[in-house]
Formats: sequence, C-alpha cells, structure tokens
Amino acid sequence: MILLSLPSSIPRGRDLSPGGGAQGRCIAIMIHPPDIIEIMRLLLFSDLHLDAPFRWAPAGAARDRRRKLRETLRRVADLAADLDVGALCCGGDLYEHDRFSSDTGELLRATFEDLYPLAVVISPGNHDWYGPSSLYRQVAWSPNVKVFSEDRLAPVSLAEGLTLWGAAHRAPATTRNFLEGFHPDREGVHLALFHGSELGGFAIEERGKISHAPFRAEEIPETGLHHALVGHFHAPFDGEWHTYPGNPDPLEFGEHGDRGAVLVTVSADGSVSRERHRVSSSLVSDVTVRVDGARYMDQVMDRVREALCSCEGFVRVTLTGEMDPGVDLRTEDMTRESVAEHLDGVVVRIGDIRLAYDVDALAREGTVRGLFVRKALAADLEEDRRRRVLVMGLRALDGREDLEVR
Amino acid sequence: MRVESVTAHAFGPILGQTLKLAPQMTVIAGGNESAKSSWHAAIYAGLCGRRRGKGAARSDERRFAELHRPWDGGHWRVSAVVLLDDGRRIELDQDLDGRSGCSARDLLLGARDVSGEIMNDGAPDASKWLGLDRRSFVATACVRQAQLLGVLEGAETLQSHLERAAATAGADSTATEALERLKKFRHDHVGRDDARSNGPVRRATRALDEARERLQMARDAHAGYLEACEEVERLREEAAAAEHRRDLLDVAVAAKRVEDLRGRCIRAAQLYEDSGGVAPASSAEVSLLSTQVAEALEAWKQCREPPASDGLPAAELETQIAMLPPMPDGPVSLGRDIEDSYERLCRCDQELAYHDANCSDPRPDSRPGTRGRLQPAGQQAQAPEIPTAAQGGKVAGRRAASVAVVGAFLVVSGLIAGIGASGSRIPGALLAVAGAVLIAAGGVGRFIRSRRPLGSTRAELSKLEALHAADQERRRLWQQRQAELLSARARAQLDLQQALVAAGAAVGEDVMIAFDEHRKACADRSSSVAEQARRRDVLEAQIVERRRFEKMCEEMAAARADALSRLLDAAEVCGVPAGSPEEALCALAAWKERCEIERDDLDRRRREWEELKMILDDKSIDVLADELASGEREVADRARELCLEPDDVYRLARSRAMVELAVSWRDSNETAREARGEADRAGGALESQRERLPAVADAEEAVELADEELKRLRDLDQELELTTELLVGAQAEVQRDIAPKVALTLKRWLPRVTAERYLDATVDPKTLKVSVYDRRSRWRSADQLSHGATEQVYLLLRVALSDCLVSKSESCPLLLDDVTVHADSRRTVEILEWLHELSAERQVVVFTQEEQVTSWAQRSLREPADALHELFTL
Repeated sequence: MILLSLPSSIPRGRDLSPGGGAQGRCIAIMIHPPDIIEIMRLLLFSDLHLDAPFRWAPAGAARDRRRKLRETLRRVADLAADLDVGALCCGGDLYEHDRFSSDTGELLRATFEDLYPLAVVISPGNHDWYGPSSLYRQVAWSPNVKVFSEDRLAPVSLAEGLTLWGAAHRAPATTRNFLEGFHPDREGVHLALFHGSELGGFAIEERGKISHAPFRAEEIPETGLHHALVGHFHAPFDGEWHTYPGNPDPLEFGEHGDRGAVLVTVSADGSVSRERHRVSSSLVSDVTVRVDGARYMDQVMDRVREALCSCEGFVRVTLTGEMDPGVDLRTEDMTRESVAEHLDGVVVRIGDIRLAYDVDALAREGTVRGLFVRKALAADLEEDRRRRVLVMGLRALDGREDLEVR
Repeated sequence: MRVESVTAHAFGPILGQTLKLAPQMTVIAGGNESAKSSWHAAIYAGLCGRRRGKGAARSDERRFAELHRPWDGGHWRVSAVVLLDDGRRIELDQDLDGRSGCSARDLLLGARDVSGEIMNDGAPDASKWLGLDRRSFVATACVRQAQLLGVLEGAETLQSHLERAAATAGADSTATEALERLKKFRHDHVGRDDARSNGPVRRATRALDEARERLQMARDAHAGYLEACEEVERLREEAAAAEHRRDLLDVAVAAKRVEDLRGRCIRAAQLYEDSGGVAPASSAEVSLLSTQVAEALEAWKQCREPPASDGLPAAELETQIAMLPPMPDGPVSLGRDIEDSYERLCRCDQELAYHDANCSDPRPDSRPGTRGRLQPAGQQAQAPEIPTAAQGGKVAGRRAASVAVVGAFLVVSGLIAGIGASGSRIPGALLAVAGAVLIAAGGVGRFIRSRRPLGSTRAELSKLEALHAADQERRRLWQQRQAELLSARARAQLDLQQALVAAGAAVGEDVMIAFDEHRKACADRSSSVAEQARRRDVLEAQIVERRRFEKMCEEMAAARADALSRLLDAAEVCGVPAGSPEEALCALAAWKERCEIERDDLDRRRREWEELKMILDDKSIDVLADELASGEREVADRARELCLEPDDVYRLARSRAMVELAVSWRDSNETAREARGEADRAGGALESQRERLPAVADAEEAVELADEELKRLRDLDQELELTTELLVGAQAEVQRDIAPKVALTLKRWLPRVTAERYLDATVDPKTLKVSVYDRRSRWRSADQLSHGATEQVYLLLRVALSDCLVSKSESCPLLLDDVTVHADSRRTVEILEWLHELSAERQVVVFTQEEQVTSWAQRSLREPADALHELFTL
C-alpha cells in the first residue's frame, strides 16, 4: 500500500482568497485521530461554471466576473499543487457547454497540464455534459487528466486499495441516479465522484434547482461506497456520506457558507475528513444602505460611499429607509467610479424605500392631491407599484419633471 | 392653529424683534418702510420655513430670499410659537440659511422634537398640521400684497391660482397641469410602441429584438460550432478507425513476417542440425557417371538384333527386270487423223440415213454404201414407193411402224454398245444413228398413212396433184441434198483410207473393216505395253524396299556393337562384372540404382544446404533468432497499442496470404489517409470557426439588459397610465365636491362683503371659475367685475377654499397683507367686520397701511382676544 505523507511545508487550511496568501487564515482544520492511517488526500471542487452569464451585472462587470472565475480555476490548481494532493477532483459544471468561449478549452488544458503528474479527475455535470461536441472531447488533455465519459460509475484506481468511481452526464437533463444498482466489484476503499442532486433535507436550500441524477444520501453506504464527492448544489454541505464543495467563486448575490475547494483526506478505513479552503478570486457581498432623512441625491451617494469604503470585491447595494420625496434617486448614477472605485463592481438596487411624504396627512386633504392619495392607497396594487404610482402623482402635482420613480 | 408670537432673529431689516399676535384678530398697521411686509413674510417663514430639498431654487424662492435675507448679512433665522388646536404648544425654529438644523419642539413635553411630523422639503412646515404645505398655505391663507396686485393683471391668474389650491391646496401645479405633465412625460419617456414611433419604448423594443437576434445568432453560431465539433469528432473517429484498421493490417503484415521468420528459424535450425553445419559434397561426379551408365544401359536397351531376311536380294530383282520382254511394235492408238476421218465418215452416214428417212423420192437410192451400212446383214433396204391412198396408207403405216420399231431397237442397241465398251463406241453410234433414221422413216410412214384417199373427189384429186407437185419439188431437193452428202462421205472415206495406210494398217475394199481391224490391233498393243509397265514397276519397288532393309540391318548391327562396347566400358568403370552383356546389364542396373539413391541424397542435402544458406542470408542462426525475438516483441507491443492480444494479430496474419494482407493494407492505408485528410480539413475549419465564436454569455446579458430596460419602460408606462387614471378620477371627484362648498361659502358672505351688490355666486366645478349674481338678476363672471370687486370675490374664494382644504382638526390662520387697498370705505368696513367675525373661528392677522383700517381696529378690537400693533418707519 502506498501511504502518502503530508509535506511539512504545506500550510493547512490555507486561504487563497484575495489577501489570503500563504499565511492566510485557516477556514477549518480537521485533526486526524492518531490511529487512523490516511491513504490519500484529494482536493475537491465543482460548479465553477466558467463562461456563465451574470445577468445581474452590467456588461463590463459581467465580463470581469467571468475573468474572476478563470482566476479561481488557477487558484484551485495552485492549491492542489501546494497541498501536494493525490488528485484534483472536479464534480462537474466546470464550464457551460452552451456558452463556452473560444479559449476555454485551452485554458483548461493548460491549467491541468501544469499540474502534471498530479492526477486531475473530472465527472462532467449537466452544464458541461459529455458529448461529441463537448470540450472534453475536443481538448487534447495531458496524460494526468482523466475525464469520466460513461453514464455509469467507472473505476479509477488512485492508490492501492483506493478506488474512485466516477460518471458523466451524457445529456443536459434526464440523467438517472448513478447509485442505482451500483456495487463495487473489488475490495478496498471506494469513493464516488459525480454531479447529482441529493434528495434529502439538504435539497431544501437549493429549492428551484432542477433535479439531475437524483440520489439519497443513505444510498451511498448501501451501495458499498464509503463517501461521495458531489457537485451540483452551490451551497456547501458536509454530510455524513457525501460532500458538496459549493461553487468556489460567487455566481449570485446572497451566497453564504464556506464555499470553495475541499481537501478530503481519505483514511484506510474509508472515513474522510474535510478542510474547506476559500479559493474565490473575488468577493461578492450584499450591503444595505439606509437613506433615512436624505433630502437630495448627494446625501444618498455619500451614505453609499461610506458604507462601501470598507468593502471589497463586487457589492450589491440595497437602499432602504425613509427618504425625502424630493430626492431624485437615480441608481444608474451610482456607478463603481462614482461611489467606490476600489471595488470590482457595484450594483445598486432599490429596497424598502419609503419617501417622506406624510401620506396620512395628504390623504386627509380635501384636494385633488388628497383624493389621489386616498385612491392610490385604496387601489389593488403591489406595494412597490403603489409607492411608485403615489410618488409619481405627487411629483406631477408638485410640478416636478422627474416623474419616474425607481 | 394660532400663532402666538414670531421672533425675527435676523430677517430683512428686522433684527432680534418679536411680534406677538392676538388669538383672534391682530391688525398690524404701519406706513411705508415700516417692515410691514417683512413681518408678513417673517410670520410665513416662521411657520413654514424654506425648502431645502434638491434642485435649484425656484424664481419665487429666489425672490423671497432676495427680499428677506438679513440686510446686515447675519444668520437668517426666524422662530415662531404656535398653539395647536389639540393643545400642544410648539416652538418652530427656522434656520433659513440652512447652516444649522431647523426644529419643531413641543414646549409642553420638554421641548421634544416633533419635526418629523411636519418635515417638508428639508424643513419643518407647520402648515402641514393644517393639511397644507408652505406653498398651498401661501395660496390660500397667506395672501400677500403682490398677489392682490396680480388681480389687476388679469383675473385668469387668480383663477388658475385657485384651481391649484383646489388641486394641491395652492401648490404650483393644477391637476390639469399635472395630467399634462404626466402625458408629456409619457410621450417623452415612453412613447408609443408601434412601428412608426421612435420613442423610448419603441427603441427599447427594437434594442431588445436586436439583442435577441444577436443572441440567437450567437447561439446559432455556438450550436453550429457544436455540430461542427460533432462532425469533426465523427470524422476523427472514422479516421482513427481507418488508421486502426490500417495499423492492424500493418501489424498483421509484421506478424506474417514474424510467422515467416519463425518458420525460417525452425527450418534453419533443422537444416543446420541435419547438415551438421558442413556443406555436403557435390553430386556432379556421381551424377556424371550415373548418367554415362544410364546412357549405356539405355543404348543397350534400345538397340535390337537385325531382322532375318526372307525375300530376294536386290541384285536378283534387278536381274528380273532386265529379263522383262520388249515392248510391242506399232501404234497403241488410232491417231488423230484416223479418228477425225472416221468421225466425218460416220457423220455423213448419219446425215444420209436421216436424209433417207425423210425421202420423197420413190426410187431406190444409188447409195449402196450407205444403205449397206444401215441395214442389217442379209437385208436390203427397199426404195420407197407411192401406194394407193388406203392401201398405201395402211402398208405405209405398217412399214413405218416396223421401221420405227427396228429403228428404236437399233438406237437402244447402239447406246448399250456405246455404254458397254468404250472400244465399240463407233459401232454403237452407228447402230443408234441407223435406229434414229428408221424411227424417222416410221414417222414419215405414219404421216403418209394419215392422208386421205386420192380418188374420192376431183377436188381431192386436185389437191393430190398439188401435193404431188410439192412432192416432186421436195424429191428434187432431197436428191440434191443426197448428192451433197454422198460427196462428203466419199471424201471422208478417202481420208480414212489414207490415214489407215499411213498408220501401217492393211486397207482392203472395205475401209470400215480395215478401220475395225486397225482399231483392234491398236487395242491389243496398248494392253501389252501396259502389262509390261506394271511388271517393271513392281520389281523396281521391291528393289528399293530391299535396299532399305539391308541398310537398316547394317545400321542396327553397328549400333548394337557400339552399345555393347559402351556397356562393357561402363561395367569396367563401375567395377561391376561384365562376363556377358546380360551380366553387365544386370550389374550396371543394380549399380545405377544404388548410385541414383546416393545422388538423390546428395542432391537433397545440397538443396537443404542451399536452402539453409538462403534462409540465413549470410547471418548466423543466433542472429536470426534474435531477429525473430525482436519481431515478436514488436508485434506484441504494437498489438497492445491497438488494444489487441498478439494471438489475435497472429490469427489474422495466418488467415490471409501476405499478398492479400498487403493489398488490404494498401487499400486501408489509402482509406485512412483520405479519412485523416478529411478530418484534418474539418478540424482546421473548426479551429477557424472557433476563433470566430461569439460570446453567448455577453449576448445573453445584453438581452437581459435590453429586456430589463423594456420592462422598466412598460412598467413606467403602466404606472403613468395608472397615475393618470387615478389623478383624473380624483380631479373630477374633487371638483364635483369643492365647487358646491365653495359656492355655498361665497353665497353666505358675498352680499355682506359687496354691500348687497352681489347676492349669489356659482363656481364651475371644472375650472373653479366664479360667476356672481347681481341685484339686477344677472350672472356675471367675476373676471369682468371691477378690480376691487374681483379682488373681494377672490378673497372670499380663498377663504372658502381654505375652509374646504384645511384639515378639520385645525383652524387655519389668515395672514392678509393690504387686502382692502382697492375697496371703498364702506366695503373696507364690511370686509373688516367680516374678518373680525371670522376671527372667532380662526386667527386673522391683517397688515395695513390704511388709516381707516387702523381707526377701525382701534374702535372694534378688544384685547386680549384682539390686538393692534403699529409699526414705525425704520
């Protein structure tokens, strides 16, 4: 049996996020009990979604986000090399089949070739499904790259007594449960690497996501597998029998949890321990800015600037609070250049903005305005639309030209 | 709400002064330059503050600032204390410069800040407690001198101002203007969504369509690229399959060679072992001797004993030839002259016979020769006679029949004789000619017999005479011809005679007999000569055959002797006993058999040695074995490269001949080359296509942005439409509600204020246009009254509107600056009385410069409910 020992120079739980560096902070450290012999360490990641569209971002920012995804791939590869793992495992959705750009294949090839002889094992998912036209077929991979191409679990021996079973999505949908009817045909420790939807309680978090290659966590030990390394759900999850690393670089706002690459240490008894490493090349965060009492646009922008000065990466600003109705609020004017040049990008949206109209007082007026307010309040409208209609009418009655309300 | 006091910390010319106001009516009197209007403005500012919101100051705001900023440049500030109808006492502190904060504090609750209740455009606005704001307060409750003067410029201005009050309690915009603004905004910022429009929504629609089109193109290009990828993949798979097939055949060829090499190695090892590594001796010598022996044996076997002779020797046969008899003397044939003469003679006889058969002359002919030749021996031909008609006919008929029968017999006999023997052709011919003549004669007889009897009638006699004459003529001609024929026959007979004589024949009287004898003699001689010639030929043939036989015997004897000599020589060379030819023959045969076995063995070993040399090709067996091992390794390696077992490759190699494998390899190589070329070309095109691959994600995001923009515009459109709808409804409803109320208020106060000049009033609900009813029962528009009357009507209208607009929980103070300046003394008093009465419900502050008003105040006002303040010129 080949036993891999950890090089002493490898910092555990190294944070490769921006500013992390070699001495970066540790996200999680798992200490192995001394009586368990580890047979291999693997670095798992999935759902990078290279070339994914960012519909919520302005055009330039979207392209920047895609560049960041590529940088994250580089960070994952660097982490694998630094940790001297036995293999780098990808649980699918590495890129987007329907959108890949002209140089994505070369990027992947060169990145994984640089890791030679470190093994790179990929199980294509529903977004990078394995087909005649997929990049996996077009790219001349270096010998250290193994792409699973069958829609059933196939073995790869990573070390003596350690078999990694992988499978590929062969179509963008309707992929069946890989675990159904599966049993290892040999002795040793068995891991699985695939892209699928766990149908248990964890799925609640990813509600709305289409179920691909559905399975239940309890099927993993029933089939004889010791652990499953799985992609598809973007929220990270460390289950008893399976691990979702989560998308390593933010794709949407509001993503929480320690997403990134997972260092999986496999022991001789089949147990695994996991360390999560942040590898994102940028941060995407949500910031709420209160605009209470703001009487003009500059005041709002000052508050946004103040809120963003300590942020990094890509920030979505949500404006809330009670604001003077006279404020000509124009979110399109709040660009990265105007509010936070040090950030990668800024998206400003209107949240629960209440204009400082005394609506109750206005409604008591016996004027056209008062009656208009009463009618608007009584109309069957969504609150946000009611707000806009109300403000629009009041502005028109005030003789203002800026009638549009955001 | 009532204003208790106003402190102008710094306001226009006023600095640090406080003006206390009575709870009901306060008259503030002062002349020009007494800061009367400044105080009016200070009260307004103390209550409502200044707008501090976004945007540049409006013209009226700028005008207000120009008029009322502290003249000494101090901190522009004013404060006021108001008492609300709910009992709260509020101090309003208005920082009109915006340097520090404005505030509204409840003095009864520890100066708690209540600014939030009345904040308006950045400053506390106490008019909000009235349901108004600082602008609508100015429009309704705070009547400035300038506004009254504005009436002079046109009643439309005041009417519009009142309409604004109805819409927004006096703000700048009327509902109609607001609707117009909404409409314009919708036109400018949304527009129509039809093909002819170029408004924002149409542009956004087009932009979205274009973005979608670009996205579709990008997706199509991407899908096309994916399809091309699949096609290239398929071509590459085909090329790989073809190359695999070619490589398989190539390995099979190599395996075939290895198989061949393995066979050669085995064969070489076997040959080497058989030969012991030494080249075998040559079989040439043995072969040569064996060949000699074989030739000797063959020669001996081939030669035979000469045959025994059983015929006459050639010399004796030559003797017999010499003893043959001589040839007979004389001609052996008739000769040409004799035959010609004889033929002419016979022809003449035939012609004569024919001529006789057609004879008309009854006399016997004098041609004895002819007759004699024609008649059989002992019979003489009778001369023709002329019988009677009947008898003659019958006799002639019988004779003619007899003659014809005889003639026919002769013809047959002649022909038989002519056919039967060539030697008797002439007599046969003669018999045939004679027969023919007789047949002709019989025919003539029948002709004669057929004629009718002569003496029957004279006519018949005449006819007979004619016939006789004709007969005579024919007789003459017949005789003439006969003479000619006889002459020719005589010449022919003479010629024959002379020819016979010339041939040495004995010619007697009858030349025909001589001719017959001569012809027989010739025939006899001819037969003799032929017999002798046949005899000689037989003998000569026998001689030739005998000589050949004798020569053959001699040659056979010589060959046998030579064969025996060679046989004996061979026996001697071979060392076998040769006591007799037979002994030598047997011994040599046995020797030869042994020799041939030895030679065959040598030949075999020699061939094997040559084969070994050819197999080794100047190499050693070890080298060959190394080559075999190397070849086997190569085949195994290449088979594994093709994911095959070596045995499978060898099986394929064994199943085909090398030629077949080579042909298959060439075919598959061509196929593979073409397939690879096609795949490479497609791959190149794919690479080019990949470089032009559009960014689908960019296009998707562009669509998203365009879609968002269109959605924003459509939402905006819906919101504008909804706002307009609500505003139109509110406007119509308010106008319907306000107009009667305003009219009622006007109707209550109008007669008193106008000294019973006008008794009634109506208000247009849509335009708020006022019409008054005078004592002459006429309705007149308020715009058409005198300036003073118009001002009074619209003063009432303002108060009436404020009654309608102001919140019912608070009373609205009236701040009036010189509102009676255009009223006559009677109406001034009426107005002041009316205001004083009104002050019981709401606080009234009247600024005036008129002595009459001051006098009235001094008379009518009662402290502490009322107050009169006189200002002095600054």
